[in-house]
Amino acid sequence: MTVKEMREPTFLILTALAGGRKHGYALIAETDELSGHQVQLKVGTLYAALDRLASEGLVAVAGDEVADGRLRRYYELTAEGSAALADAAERASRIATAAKSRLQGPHPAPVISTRLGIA
Amino acid sequence: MNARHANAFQSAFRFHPRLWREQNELTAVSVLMDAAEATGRQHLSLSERASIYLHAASVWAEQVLNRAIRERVSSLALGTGMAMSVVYFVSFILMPMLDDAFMPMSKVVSATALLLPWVAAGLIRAVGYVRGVRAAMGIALVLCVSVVLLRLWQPELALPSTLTVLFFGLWSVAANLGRARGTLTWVTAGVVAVLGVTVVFAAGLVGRTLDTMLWTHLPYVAFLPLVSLFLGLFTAAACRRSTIAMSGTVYAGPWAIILIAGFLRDGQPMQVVALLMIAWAGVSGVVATTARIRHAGPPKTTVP
Repeated sequence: MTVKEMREPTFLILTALAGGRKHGYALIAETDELSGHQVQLKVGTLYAALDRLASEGLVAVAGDEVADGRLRRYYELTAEGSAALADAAERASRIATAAKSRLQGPHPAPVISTRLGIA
Repeated sequence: MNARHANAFQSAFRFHPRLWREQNELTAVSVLMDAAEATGRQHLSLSERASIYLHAASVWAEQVLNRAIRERVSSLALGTGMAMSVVYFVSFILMPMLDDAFMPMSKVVSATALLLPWVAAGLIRAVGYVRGVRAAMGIALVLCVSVVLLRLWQPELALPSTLTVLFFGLWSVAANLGRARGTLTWVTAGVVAVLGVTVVFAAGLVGRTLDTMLWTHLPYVAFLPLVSLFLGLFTAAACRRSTIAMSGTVYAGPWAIILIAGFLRDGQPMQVVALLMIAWAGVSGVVATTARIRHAGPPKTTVP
């Protein structure tokens, strides 16, 4: 996966897994928290994302466990997944820094007004 | 949450393939129950259910047309469409115009519109921008639909035939199924271009128009081998012989359907089609009962 193709849910899932192996519902809960409750993954969406990430070798199954009478499957980041997440995080950080820097600097002149000779 | 709720949640996965359910259903139901408990719900929301059904569709699609198959079909279709759009434009538009034949402007414009996305896709593929190829194929499909609609709205306008538009429309859909591979795309384009040019010259040599050649004379030469090839591939794919057979089936499907449609449209004797179908049914029956059906391994699906 190239860095520019990583969408927000994927980024959030990999970020959640960067903190250690997690089961399905823990991933849903953590992506919700990480996104400030802006991204609430549906179960089908999570499965589709995990299918894709597993086929790309970015995540792997890390065992099944029974807890409170429920079977839970755990997932973990692979080395490839960690590298992809690091790339994506670096890129996001670079863009965020640039955005903050420009917002703090002097605002550009209004282009349309200048072209019209009004400014 | 009691057993009744668990059963209700389990039923949400009834459209998933059996193998998937055997491997993943228990963990999937656990996630649904966790999510429902966290939000204080005792039933699935409509959007949750829809997302599960969509996932079921994607698992089925992945089983029938996995990535390798989609890439092959995409490459074959892209190569074919690129070559045939050029052959079509040169033989049906450019050559008649050079011979001073009357060519209505509507036909020139519509044929050019059909050609351009394929040329653009070829150029974009040459520089390796795969997303651009997909966009070009999307435009190609929109233009094909537009020509068909225009034909219905203005029947008196001279436009490319419906079969021509159908061919290019199906190729554009097939080309968008996956990521086209460079080598296979260019080899296909080369082979199809040589075949296309050969047919054009052959039509000229025997003194027929290309349309007459294609739909009156060529079927006797090409119909049986092409449709037989499709049916053979279809049988092999049904027996899960290989992904190549499946790729060939998906790619050859539109050809076979359109050839049969054209064959019937031109009033060709049905006995040929009937004989072919009977022969295919017999061979398929023998293959299906004697072949060792190799089931594909478990799908590459993962479930929380």
